[in-house]
Amino acid sequence: MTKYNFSSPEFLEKIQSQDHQAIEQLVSTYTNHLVNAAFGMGFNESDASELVQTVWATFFQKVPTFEGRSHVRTYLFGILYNKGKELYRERNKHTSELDVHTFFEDNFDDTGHWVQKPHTPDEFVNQVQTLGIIEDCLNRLPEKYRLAFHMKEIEENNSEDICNILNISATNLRVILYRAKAKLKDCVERKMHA
Amino acid sequence: MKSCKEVAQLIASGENLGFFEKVSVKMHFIICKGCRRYHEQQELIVKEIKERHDRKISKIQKTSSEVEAKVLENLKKD
Repeated sequence: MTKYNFSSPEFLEKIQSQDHQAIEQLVSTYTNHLVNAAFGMGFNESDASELVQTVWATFFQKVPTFEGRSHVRTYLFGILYNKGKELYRERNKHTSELDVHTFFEDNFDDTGHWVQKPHTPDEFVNQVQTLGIIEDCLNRLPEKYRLAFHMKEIEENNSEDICNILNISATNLRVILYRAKAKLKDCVERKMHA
Repeated sequence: MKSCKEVAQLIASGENLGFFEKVSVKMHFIICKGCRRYHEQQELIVKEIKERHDRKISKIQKTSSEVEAKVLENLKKD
């Protein structure tokens, strides 16, 4: 079986001319990554399955006009992000931008020092594990924050790829990541004291 | 010396820190218990989320195989 280079113009031509071998290789290579990211965005098995099938359907609809300016992987994940956002709305998940001033404004004084020192790690980990509050806090992140967090921290993708997929700048990604982590920590702490 | 707020922002941004930034963050950790704890909490949260995600791997693989089969089947029909 020919092993294709997914970023070559020849491969794109094969896909556009509906070459079965090329299509099969593409689907086999990326379906697992897409499903993994869909779970990372917080979708359950049935929603993740529906979402990734929609991603492939959209990809094959759009591929005749795809010019190959981005890597096919970036293109696929861009579709996943946009379709995922639509599905989030249908499922009434949280889609609004976070009220992000909270963590950095509430936790530091005017000189930039902690108002109140964070809990010891032992106290913290016990509460996080026993209360199982992480999932709920993750669900409170907007889809862009959640996907960026998943791609950076869980899948350990490089920042440039993530920026291309989410169509954001490197600075914006850094802001999103620190806000996502700060929000998670803030949410966990609030639930620990609730 | 960086303030706690600046250190917390650097830690949470996921950025690969340069040599001098790493040294300055490490020096800050030596004298600041709050930032040390914050850093450890951040790492614990990420670790916990990774572990939760890893526990779903078998579900992810099963779903992937099903989706792959459906997509290829639909393409054959077309």
